[in-house]
Parts: sequence; C-alpha cells; structure tokens
Amino acid sequence: MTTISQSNSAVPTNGDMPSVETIKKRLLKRRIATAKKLAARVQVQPDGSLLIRRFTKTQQTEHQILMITFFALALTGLLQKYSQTTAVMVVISLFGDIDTLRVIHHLFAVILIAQSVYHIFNLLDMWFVKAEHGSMMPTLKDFKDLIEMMKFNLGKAAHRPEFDRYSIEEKIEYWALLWGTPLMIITGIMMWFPIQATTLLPGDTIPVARALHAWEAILATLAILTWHTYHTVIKEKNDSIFTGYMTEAAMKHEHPLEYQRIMAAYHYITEHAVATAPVAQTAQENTIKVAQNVGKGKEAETERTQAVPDRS
Amino acid sequence: METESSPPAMGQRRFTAPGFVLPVLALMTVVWLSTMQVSWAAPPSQEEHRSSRDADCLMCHSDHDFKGTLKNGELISLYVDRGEYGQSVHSAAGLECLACHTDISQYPHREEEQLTCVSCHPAKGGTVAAKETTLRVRLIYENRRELALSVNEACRSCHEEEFLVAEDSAHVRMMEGGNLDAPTCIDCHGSHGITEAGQPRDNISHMCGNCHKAVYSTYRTSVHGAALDEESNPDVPTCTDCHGVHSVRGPRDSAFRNDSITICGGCHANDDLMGRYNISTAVFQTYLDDFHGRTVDLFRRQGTRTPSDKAVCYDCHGIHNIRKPDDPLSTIYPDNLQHTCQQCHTEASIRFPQAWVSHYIPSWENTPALYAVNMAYKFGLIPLTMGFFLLYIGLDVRKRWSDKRKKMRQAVEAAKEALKDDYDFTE
Repeated sequence: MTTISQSNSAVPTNGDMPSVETIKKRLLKRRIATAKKLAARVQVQPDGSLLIRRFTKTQQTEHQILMITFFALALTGLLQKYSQTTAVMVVISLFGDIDTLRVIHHLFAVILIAQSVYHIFNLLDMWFVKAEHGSMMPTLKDFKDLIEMMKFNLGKAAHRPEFDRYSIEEKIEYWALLWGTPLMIITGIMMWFPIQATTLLPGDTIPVARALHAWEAILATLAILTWHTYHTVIKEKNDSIFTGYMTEAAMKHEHPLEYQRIMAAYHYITEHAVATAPVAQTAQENTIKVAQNVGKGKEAETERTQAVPDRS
Repeated sequence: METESSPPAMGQRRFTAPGFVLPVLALMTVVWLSTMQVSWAAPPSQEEHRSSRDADCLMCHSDHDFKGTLKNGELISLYVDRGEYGQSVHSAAGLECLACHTDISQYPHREEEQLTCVSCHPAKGGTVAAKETTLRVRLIYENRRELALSVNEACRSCHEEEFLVAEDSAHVRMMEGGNLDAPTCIDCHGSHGITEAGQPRDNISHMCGNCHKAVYSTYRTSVHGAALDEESNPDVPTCTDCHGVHSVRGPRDSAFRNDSITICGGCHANDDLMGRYNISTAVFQTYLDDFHGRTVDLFRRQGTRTPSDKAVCYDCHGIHNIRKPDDPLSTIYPDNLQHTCQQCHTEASIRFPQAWVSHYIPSWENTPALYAVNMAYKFGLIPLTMGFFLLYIGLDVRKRWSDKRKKMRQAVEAAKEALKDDYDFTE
C-alpha cells in the first residue's frame, strides 16, 4: 500500500486537482504494491510445488496465546463451576484449593485481556489507519455460502460454494469469539471486583454477570469442541495456523477465490509486470524495483520454507 | 490356668492331712452354718448387699453436720443427700458409693484425716460414750476443686467412650493446659443427683450459661434461644447441637468454621423440620451454589485445615444472636445488610448487598434479569447454537461418508470390470 508521503511526492500539475495521468500512476503503484504483497505469499518448494503463506507470524502467535489462555480459562473456570461433584473436587485438589484455582484463572484472564486489547488496536489500525475493510467482515455472500454449503452437503447443489480468504465456517468461529470474549471479560471483571462494580452498577448485576459468565463459558467451550475442532482437525487436518502455510491443493479447495487472486498477482509480478508495463518512465522503474524485490524476497522465503516440514 | 494348677495342690493336701481331720471339720462346719441366720435358699441379693455397704458410708455421711476441713482451711459439708442420690440414674443402675469413690477402701479413709474412735465417742471416765460430738475430719485436698476432680477420673471406668470423644475438646485441652476450673464431667452432669443426660433440654443452655454468661444472655434473645426458653421448643438448637456434646470444639478450631455450614444445613435443609415453621430449605443449596458457599463447602469436603475466609452462615446471620430476617435487630435485616457485608468487604457500597440474591432460587418474580439470562441460555442460545452446529456438521459428515462410499463402489465396479473375463465362482 502506498504511504501518504509517497503519494504527496507526486506534485499535481493542474493546481490542486491531480491530472488523470498522476492518478493512473498512483493507482498502478497501489495495485503493484498489493500484488507484490500477495505474490510474496507464494513459496516455491525445492520440488517445484507451491506453498502459500496463510497466516503471518503475529497471527500465529496470537492464535497460540489465545488457544492456551482459552483452555486454561475454560479448565480453571469450569472446575469452579462444577466443584460440587467429587471427581472435580479431586482435580481441584491437584491445584491445591479453589482459591489457588481462582488465582490461576485471573492470571490467564489478564493475558486474554491484554491480547484482546492488542487485537482491538489492530482492528482500529486496520480500519482507520490502513483504511482496509478487513476480511472477517460479514458479507451477504457469507450467508449465501452457508445455505449453499448445506445444500451441497444434502446433494441439492452441484457445486461447493467458493470461499475467499475466510470461509463462513471460520467467520462464524471468529464472530463467536468477538461476541464471547468481551462478554467474558466484562462479566469476569465484575465478579473479580464486585465492590468497585457495584459503585457504578446496581448490585443485582453481579449475579447476572455470574450467570452470563458461566453460561457463556459452557457455550464457548462446546463451540470450540464441536465447531472449531470439526472444521480444523476432524474434517481435514488443517494445521496452517501452526505452520503458517497451506499447500496449493488445499488452498485451491478451501479458499479458491483467494487462491486465484494470489496466483494472478504472483504471475503478474513474476512474468508480465516488468515486460508489459504500459506506464510512464518512473512507474516502470518502480515496477522493475518491485519485481526485483519480489525476486529477492522469494529467495529469502525459499530458504525459510525449507525449514517447514513437507506437507504433501 | 487355675483349673490346671488346682489338682496338684488338692493332692498335696490329701497326702498330708490325717484321716480323722476331715470328718471333724465337716461336722464343725455343719454346726457353724446352723447357727447362722442365713438361709441357703436366699443368699443376700446384690441390692441388699449394696445397701448394706452404702449404709456403712451413710453412717457418717447422712449426718447433716458432718464436715471436713480442706487444707486451705475451708470447711465443707460432707453430707450426702440420700434422697437425691435415690433419684439419680446411677442409683437406678445399682451403683454403690464405692463405684465412683474408688479411692475409699477403709475406715477411716486415710490417716491424714486424723479420725479416731474418740472423734465421735469421747472417752468419759473410762467408758465409751454414745456419739455426741459433731464430726470433723481433715481432708487431704487443697481446695473444693481438687476434691471434685479426684472423683472425676472414676467416670472413665464406665464412660470410656465419652472420655475418648472429649479428648480433643476445648474443655479438656483447657484442663490439660493447667486450668483446673475447666469444666469436667460433674460440672455439667452434677454428682450425686445425676439425671438422664440432656433432660430437660433447656438445662443444657443453663448449664453452659453458668460459665459462658455473655454468650448465654445473647443466645436467650436469639430466635433459637427464645424458642427454647419460652416455648421449650424441641426443634431449636441448644448449645450442644452446634458445639457438640463431649467433643465441644472451640469455634476458633480450624475445622469448626468450614464444618459449621453443615451444622446449620443439618436442620435448615431438612424439609420435615423446616416445614413446621414454613422456612425455605433452599437456603442451604442456594448458599452452596453461590461464591461463598462454593468455596467453603469445597474446603470442608477437601478436609482443608485452613479455615476459609469466605462467609459462612453465621458471618451474615450472626452467631448466638441469630434473629428472624424481618427482625430489625437481625444482622440481615435490610437496613443492617450493608454493615454486615462491610465486616469483610470494608468498602461495600449501599448497592453491594443487592449482589447477593438472598437465598432465592432464581425466578421471574424475584430475580427477573438473572432468570431471563438463565432461561435464554438454557433454552435458547445454547440449544439453538449447538443444534445448528451439530446439524451443519452432521450434514458435512454425511456428505463425506457418502462420497467415500460412492468412490469405493466405483472402485469395486472398476475392479469387477477388469475381472469380467476371469472366472467368477460366486453364486
């Protein structure tokens, strides 16, 4: 994406209004930058097969932290909820007592809160600084896809719906998280600091918070154990969140729309961009630079991908 | 053992005794027996035997003026009220004086008592006069308490079990710590006039109140104490129902706090008992379901020695001053609640007590928001979400299986096709 300073450097020729030519230049720059980003996600394996980068290292780390905190919170929380049964009491005894369990629960809660704050800042950055739409946003297509997928599974549709970067299954998981996490954080803080909470809110909100926290915990745990586990592990093993990569075949099957975009960009950058660029001198130079950069990046990436276990 | 050792002894005697001695001895025995007023058919009954031994004791101890001087100089009465003892459970059980006064084996009991014949029968002109002086003995005990304690150990010979139970009690520990005023058997049960334990019931609190005066005066005004004192209500707890009988544990004992919830719960979760007074038995379960009860109950069930710092029944309802919730003096009367919460939650605001749902099972009338959340999740969000998830997953699984079967069938068909020129022996 072109930065503000770059676009400012192109001096408008016609007063305040940039010329069509300038706009064309800017658009092209932007397109090439996007294409470069997409193309950089393609990694050529030594055997010639392609791996496609699905998640950045930061996204992977975010997921791993969330995974650990979620399970720790679900475990230490549900143990408290069901402490009246003997079996649970025995497990609690492994931790010491229920107060120790609460301390552990609070500890992981703090990590989850910190991570959620980071995630929200990331979203704000994406929307208001980078001015991107965000690929997790609900679209009409998502709901159509959901119906289409069920129709397909029932044998009533000839084709599987084609997903973009995130399938409706993944989006539902994310939306559930987006609904559940703030709810859990707010109700959790209310229970953790009931004195402070009741200086702001009526007292009877505390038992309501407690009920919401417990019910939502059950719902979230069940959702993770069924929906998320089925779609990522049981249906077909999809470990891209751990490796960062997806095979070309898997990508083609799971995210055909995104795959097509990536490959188009990849081919555009590697094969045609330099030779056929019908643009002004400066833009052409730029394109060459971009192509060279992509080439360099690719070499570096190829080295990196060798560390990734062969997934074929 | 005895039967084995006796025959040789008998044999020995037979060899050494001259032949005429035995018939003579037999004759003498018959003569001696015939002079006695005892009938062979009716030997002295145990009752009579006891009476005769007790009568020996009462020769002196039925004297109203019989007194003894303790080492500290105090003069105490040694009179025993025969009538009082006659009413006691021990008398009914046939126990004689010596059953408890085990250190008495002779008369006079001890040399130190400096009791001689002339103590009562002063020699007058060489003849023994009839008893005329007031009997005084010197007692070997320092004080009244020491005398009382000397008898206490005798209880153990019959009531061993109670002694074992009492071993860990606060009272026994106090005694072992050197406080001789700590209560022992006779302080609660009495001595000669011991009646059936715990009868009448309001005696118990009076007895404890003898020492625990402040607690008793508070208890009398509580819902439990008043019902016991005024109506002799048999259902309300008296001291021993919560503190135990012989095992009386100090309330600062680590396990007492965690266990206390089952003491209250023992009655307040009992439908029959609470039904008589129209009191909800949900109080116990709702307590266990909430934050405080959840924690304390787990501590209790784990047998944790550390007392939980979460509220138990008496932290909110009061200990000996428990009153009805609608009594303005009750610690849980709405106006007093904030102060009660502040005992632990020092910063608790006026809204804070509302954070507790007052032992109500969530219902539309009492806790609409809470009830709505429960119902929404229980019958709405969870079944709908999970229902949809499982339906979607089910369809996906079904499709995958049918695809797999279809592929397998095609492979079989292809294989059959390839083998169609070969011999087929099926059928």
